[in-house]
Amino acid sequence: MTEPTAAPLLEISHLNTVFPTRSGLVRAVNDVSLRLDRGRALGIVGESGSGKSVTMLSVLRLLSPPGRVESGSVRFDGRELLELSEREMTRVRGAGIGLILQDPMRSINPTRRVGDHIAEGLRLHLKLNRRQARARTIEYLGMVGIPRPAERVDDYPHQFSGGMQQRVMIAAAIACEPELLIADEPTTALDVTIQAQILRLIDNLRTELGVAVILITHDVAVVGSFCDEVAVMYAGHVVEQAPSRTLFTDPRHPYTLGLLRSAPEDDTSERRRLVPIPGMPPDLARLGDGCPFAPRCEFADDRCTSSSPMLRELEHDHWLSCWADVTAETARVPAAAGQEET
Amino acid sequence: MSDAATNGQPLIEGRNLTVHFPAGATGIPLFNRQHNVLQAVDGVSIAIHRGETLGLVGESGSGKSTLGRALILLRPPTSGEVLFRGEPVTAARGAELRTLRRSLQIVFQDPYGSLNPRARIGDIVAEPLIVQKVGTKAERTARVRELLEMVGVSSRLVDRYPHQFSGGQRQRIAFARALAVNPEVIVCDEPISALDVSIQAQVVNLLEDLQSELGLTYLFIAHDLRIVEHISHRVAVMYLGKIVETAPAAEFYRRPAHPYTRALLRSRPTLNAVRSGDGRRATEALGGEPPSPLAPPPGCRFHTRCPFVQAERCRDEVPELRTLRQGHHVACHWAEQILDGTIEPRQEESAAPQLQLTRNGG
Repeated sequence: MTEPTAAPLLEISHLNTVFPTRSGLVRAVNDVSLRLDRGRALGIVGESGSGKSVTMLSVLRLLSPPGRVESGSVRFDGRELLELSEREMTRVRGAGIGLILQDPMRSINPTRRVGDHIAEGLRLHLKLNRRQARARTIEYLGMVGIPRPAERVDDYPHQFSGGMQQRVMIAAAIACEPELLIADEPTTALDVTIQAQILRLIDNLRTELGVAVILITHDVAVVGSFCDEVAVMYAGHVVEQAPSRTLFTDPRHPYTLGLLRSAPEDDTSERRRLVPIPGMPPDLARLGDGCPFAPRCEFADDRCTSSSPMLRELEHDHWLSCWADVTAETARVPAAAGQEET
Repeated sequence: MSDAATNGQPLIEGRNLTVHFPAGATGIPLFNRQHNVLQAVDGVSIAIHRGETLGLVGESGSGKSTLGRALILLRPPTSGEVLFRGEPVTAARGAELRTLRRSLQIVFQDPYGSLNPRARIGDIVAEPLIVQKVGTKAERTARVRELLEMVGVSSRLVDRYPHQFSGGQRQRIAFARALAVNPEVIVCDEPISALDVSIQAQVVNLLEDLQSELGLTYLFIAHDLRIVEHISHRVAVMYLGKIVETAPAAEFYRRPAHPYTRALLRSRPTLNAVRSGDGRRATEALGGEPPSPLAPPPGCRFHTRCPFVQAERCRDEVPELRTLRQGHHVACHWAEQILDGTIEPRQEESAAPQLQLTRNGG
């Protein structure tokens, strides 16, 4: 697609993140490499515990101890984030990378006025004075679609609906003009019609302001619709990555296929029985040498259980980590769908 | 079972159900001066036939959970009537109510919150049997094992605690508990929303299997339109306490007539659109937010957000739920004109409010 002439905005290479726990070392992120060019949108899909959020917290160095990055590199805008001082990192978090979390009710401080959430960053990172910060806050509130922003700036969060609170969080994340916006399940807590509004807003910010976006979600249709490229994560590994249209027309990893088959098709007339992925995700403290998906994979053989496949480029921009050569055609729904959970 | 189900007497029916909550109640009598009323459910009639799954969708606060609870007598309606097997049961109390509860069960959204963390799963599933004084202890133990196996949880695990199970397994246990007393109707209140995608499919399949084996009748409350389409025979949409449209599932998804239903269906991203390379454009956002149920708009409650709103009737005349064609009911004054294209949506409403996107200083 676009020529990789310029350096990518974000380049994650061979990232490993671990959490020491009483039941052993939990390997939450395993050898993850991702890159994102300026102004583009990357989607990360996966189920809970797949490592999609921990990867982003590692990038922002917001892991709560004892979680730590064991090895790897995160280059953002030409700088190695894992080597920055805490002070420099604070600047990156404010003005370089904006973060939006799932539940606006929890990421907002209920005792502080709505505008304060935005003005704080403006004063700290852009060194604006109180008056300038307020003016800019009102401007950004208007930009994200808050009606009558000059009046609402002094409201408290409980006076806002969930969707409006999420707009405030987006305004706070973009007010310092970051190059990258990370949105971690930004619409999961919201109603369907409001979800569409927020996704539209994020997409407009990307096209109009040129902010690159990483959208983390479990909803394949959402990433497919709003991202140029999609990475599928499972048990801390990127198992497949491709431009979104390619991924959803020609999925090649058995897990990606499984995700697509376990959700109902859109607008079909016949009622097809859903095909769940049998079993459950593995215990991340007890990952063996083999492919982490092998225990649930209908195509797994000896090689899969003994050694883990590397991410390789199948075709242009389509990356896959799987030994088996599976396509949607060869993987036609088997008659017996295997046993289900337990 | 689905097609025949719509004829004859409904198994369970709500007639003109209204549920009001006193609003602004602080719990401190001194401050309970204002007598605001929240109309969670406002004059809703709903009927479900034996063996049928009725999907109920709507935004949070639209009253769908309250309606579900009123229908199975967990929440006394402010007015209106519930009929079970054709008999009025709204006034049932005491022993009569306890007997009815055997037939009317519910499964909740959050399998972490709905199972007592200190009880073994065997005791959790046995509890309805004890409350209903069913069988001897030995018979109950046997029944619990049978129920667990039926929902796909090994009966060897009866002595484990809920935290030892995954979300999907807990939801299976919640179903085993609901099934213990041989219910006929189960209200499934967002039963899969808290589960991961691959696990959702397992629970949906379980629900379908149980229905065909036991002839269960479901009210399936959810906000995921794709799952509702898959599992439901008929679908009803609620908006601010009223049902605005109800139709057989296939008709509902192919020929939605109410502007709110149309907006709901258009605001969900679909993989088909992604595959044809137009995911971004295919998703349309309905503008605005649902008004407060404390002060619903006059006339049609959707008129404040409706892209088809007309100068006549919409703002001052409440649309009744009326029959559009066999089995398809809609509460919109202009449904026919919207369906045949004589009334077109206002352009500015088809997308989110246009944003002023100009970057400061560059």
